[in-house]
Amino acid sequence: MTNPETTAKPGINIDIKIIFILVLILAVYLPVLIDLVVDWYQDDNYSHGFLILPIAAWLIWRKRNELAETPTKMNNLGLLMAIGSLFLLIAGTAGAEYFTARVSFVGLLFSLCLYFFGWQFTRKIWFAFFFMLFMIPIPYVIYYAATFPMQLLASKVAGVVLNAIGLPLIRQGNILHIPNYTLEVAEACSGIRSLFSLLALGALFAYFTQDNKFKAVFLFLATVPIAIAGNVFRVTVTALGAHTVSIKFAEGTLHEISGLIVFVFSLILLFALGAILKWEKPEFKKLRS
Amino acid sequence: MGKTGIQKTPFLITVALLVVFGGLSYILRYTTVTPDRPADFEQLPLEYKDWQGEEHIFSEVTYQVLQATSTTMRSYTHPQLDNSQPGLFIGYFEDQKYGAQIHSPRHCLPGGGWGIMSHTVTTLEINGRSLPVNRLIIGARNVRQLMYYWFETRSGIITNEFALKFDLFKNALLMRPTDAAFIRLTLFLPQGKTEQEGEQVLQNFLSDFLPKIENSLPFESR
Repeated sequence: MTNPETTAKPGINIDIKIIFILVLILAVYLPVLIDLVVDWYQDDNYSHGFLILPIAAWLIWRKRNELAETPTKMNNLGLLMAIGSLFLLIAGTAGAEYFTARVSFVGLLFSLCLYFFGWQFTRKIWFAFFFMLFMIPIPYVIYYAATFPMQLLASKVAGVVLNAIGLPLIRQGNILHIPNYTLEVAEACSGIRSLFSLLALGALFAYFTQDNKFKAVFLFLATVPIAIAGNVFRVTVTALGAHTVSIKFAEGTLHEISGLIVFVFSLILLFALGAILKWEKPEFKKLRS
Repeated sequence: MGKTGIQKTPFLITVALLVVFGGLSYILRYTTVTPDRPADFEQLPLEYKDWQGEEHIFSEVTYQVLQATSTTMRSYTHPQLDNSQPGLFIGYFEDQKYGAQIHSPRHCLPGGGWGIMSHTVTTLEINGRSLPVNRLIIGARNVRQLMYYWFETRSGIITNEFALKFDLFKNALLMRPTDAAFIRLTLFLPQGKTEQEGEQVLQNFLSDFLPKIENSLPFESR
């Protein structure tokens, strides 16, 4: 039996011109990309950025055989979009707006793929380009606009939950007073950190597990409430820990592993929802097949 | 040519586009047009008419976060004013392009524990001249503060953060200096002092100091 991977040679046979263009793109975007990598390194919200490009490259690589068999056809819309992306680079550089210049990098890769190889080819790997967007930190204006409401929401819901459990509690804004302890839901606890990495993960998970487009989009969007729920869970657990065990425990051990708590909690919810969405009544399955 | 190959013309078009736009982006990124003179807060007097000013300094961390080229923060007293004194802050940014950008109070105040109770854009009449400003009432616990702020650049006075961004974009493309100043006036409103009374104090202060403030900045637009 022949291995299909070795017989499909044309997929690996890449035109030197493409390599040249990729190198040129890297040269054009070098300052933008260096800044981006520095951000991943310095900003804990975006340390997952390092993983995005390798995963995106793999997402394309795993389709190499399928792509090799796909007829290519030039699409001039791609050229138009490439010019638009390059204008974004200029706008971002002149306005010192990192987000714009970074998005233009992903936009350019997508546009040139469309320009050279056409829609039929590009649609097979669109997700790799979409996934690359998760390596770009959102504009700080939006970040700050979202942080405060999320802090407040986390405090409010955690307050309700703790009250329901029977913990006497007074809430002032984002500060929770429990009998022996005062818990402040700080900016870092807004949940926005875990939201970014969970969104990327949710997109990947939805892409691989859901065959139905609507279900996939639904699962991806559900990442937002799930991340918020995860954060509420963390605040609740911290308050409970401070009340039932000790303040030292809440501020020490619990606080250190709370990032992990949120992540595991959110992952469980995400997997559960993914499984529910995929589940069909056995009768329907029979009818379809 | 293999299936993934590309034709010569689209290849050349792409290369040309990348070289032109890439070159322009490098020029925009690495050229700085230095203003002909820097901001000079020595020109802004501490003692003027009946006003007595006092200079304040921030913590080192604040200066690092601000990344302004030069700043001044003062509070002024006046014999006819009792317990509330106008506070003046000016941050001058010589080149906005490299991460050192104006932080709008609307984004940093909530982080500093201040709640924004109201925000409007209004036009003040100062010495027969119209001055558009952002007018804020901010509060923390039981303290209230009245605040006016605006931005000045080569293009004149700007009140909106997005307009400021667009102005930066325009000035950078025109190869003009991208410097900008952020001017903020604050006044505590103690119990019993109305917003109208506060506005009167700040506007009196401005009618004395606005020409001095603008003289200390390197913009010609008067």
